[in-house]
Amino acid sequence: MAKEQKIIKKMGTPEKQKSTEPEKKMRRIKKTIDEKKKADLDKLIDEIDDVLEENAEEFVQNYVQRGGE
Amino acid sequence: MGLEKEYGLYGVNPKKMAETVDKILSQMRTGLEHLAIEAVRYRTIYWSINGAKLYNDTQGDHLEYATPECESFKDIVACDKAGEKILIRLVNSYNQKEKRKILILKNNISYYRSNETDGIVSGETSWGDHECYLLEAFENICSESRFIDNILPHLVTEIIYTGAGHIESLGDSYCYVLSSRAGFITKKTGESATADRPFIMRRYGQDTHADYNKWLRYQVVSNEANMLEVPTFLKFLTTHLCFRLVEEGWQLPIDLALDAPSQLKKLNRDIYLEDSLELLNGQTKKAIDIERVYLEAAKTLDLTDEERKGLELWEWVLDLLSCDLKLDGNLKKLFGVLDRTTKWYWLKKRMEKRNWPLSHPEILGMNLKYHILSDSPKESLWCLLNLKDKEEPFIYRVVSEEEIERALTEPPQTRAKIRSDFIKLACHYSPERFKVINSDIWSEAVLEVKGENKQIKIDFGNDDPLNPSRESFENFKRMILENTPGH
Repeated sequence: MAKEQKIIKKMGTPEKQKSTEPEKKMRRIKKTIDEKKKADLDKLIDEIDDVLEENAEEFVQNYVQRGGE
Repeated sequence: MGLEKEYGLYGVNPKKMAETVDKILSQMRTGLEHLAIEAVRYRTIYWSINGAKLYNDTQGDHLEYATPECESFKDIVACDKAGEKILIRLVNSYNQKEKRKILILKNNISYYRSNETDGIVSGETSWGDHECYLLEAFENICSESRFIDNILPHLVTEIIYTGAGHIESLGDSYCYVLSSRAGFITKKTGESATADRPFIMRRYGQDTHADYNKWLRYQVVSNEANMLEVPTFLKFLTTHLCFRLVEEGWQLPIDLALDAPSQLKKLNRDIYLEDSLELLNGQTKKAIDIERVYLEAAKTLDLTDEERKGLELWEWVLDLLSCDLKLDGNLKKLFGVLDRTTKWYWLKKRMEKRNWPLSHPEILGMNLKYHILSDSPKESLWCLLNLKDKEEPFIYRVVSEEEIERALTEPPQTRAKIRSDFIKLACHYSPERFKVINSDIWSEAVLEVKGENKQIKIDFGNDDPLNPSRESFENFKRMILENTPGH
């Protein structure tokens, strides 16, 4: 009996299970989605553009693959 | 469940692709210390201690990673992401040794292809991202064709959230589409995906990787690879729930039947989801409403905790997709959630800023570069986005960084765990004494005892993959340890 209780304690009942970190984070992000952060998205995209290399034309032509599966 | 993914390589002469893939894979052997990965090698197939398979796919010479068997959707995402990390490390190790600058792309399409004679031809070519599902035989519930017909509308409409987005070539012009795969899917079902590709295919005989009298293995091949976690999570969760519905006797309302290949192509070009699909009864229905039919039906199932949370995520995504996506404000809400909306917002902003058309070479390039896996922020948008996300989170994740790190070396608690234990044991104690002689050790390993005309079979759960017995492995382990001095 004591052993069973120990196991139950270890596993936790579904009601008592705490949210995992990604779930908490997901809720946090959902909450802020309509708020100011999304207004900063365009700034983020600008910053990204400044860092990424521009050699796309050459990139497209040199990405040669065979069909697979 | 499991995910088999073929990757593309940039910077490799097509004539030397197979050889290069072999050399990249061989880093599994030479980089054991810093990769913290051990593997049993057989030809160009490596089995990692996380239970995954890494190999040179003979069809098209692609570098391929197959996740171990998972029972949870979070595990699928963690194992898929762990695969990305393993491949980045292998390619980095190879580049360093060979002084090369090869890049790896997690996508399914190139604008140029090499043909059998290794001529380079302009024209899109595709390779695979296969979702694998093992089901208990359902002949007593319904026929296979009825089973497939029940889920087909879902396989068409799910591209509204599983698509990674693509700029499709129309000969002399281009258009942005939901998925790079849709143009290659030509029929409902089939037995091969190398040409004339189906939505779903059944794998028979040995390819079931379990007792084929009791189990059925299906592969959904109509989806493409995802960089973001939400679409990967959702494509498995939603199709799994559709399978569950059919297994429990649910029947698709007869008026939702459609001609899947033609409606997939139609939907693919409707990036703002404004049009309706044509149904076989002559009526029309929006893709999102067809998804909601499945969603509402799935709500009636007895759901596990993970299924219930996943279903909430599914509904939340459908709600976001129901908004007018022509408005930047609505599109922004799906940035960091779905690949096809994230890519589109990024390309759209870039086109507006530079006054470039969709056909501009830089835009076509960004369409591919979105899929680069690299740990250099100069090369990879994803590396950059991850760095920015650490400052202020905007990417929707379903697993933590720690869970992904764990998935590099620890298998899910399925039969993959027995395989992983076998691999560790084989690496440490038996390479001089045994040789693994079967290449696919999903359900069992067959060993040849060196110097003796004897074979040993170790079962990882061929009869009952969901409740595998460790007995066969434990017997082998005992034998190894008893015959090893000092143990």
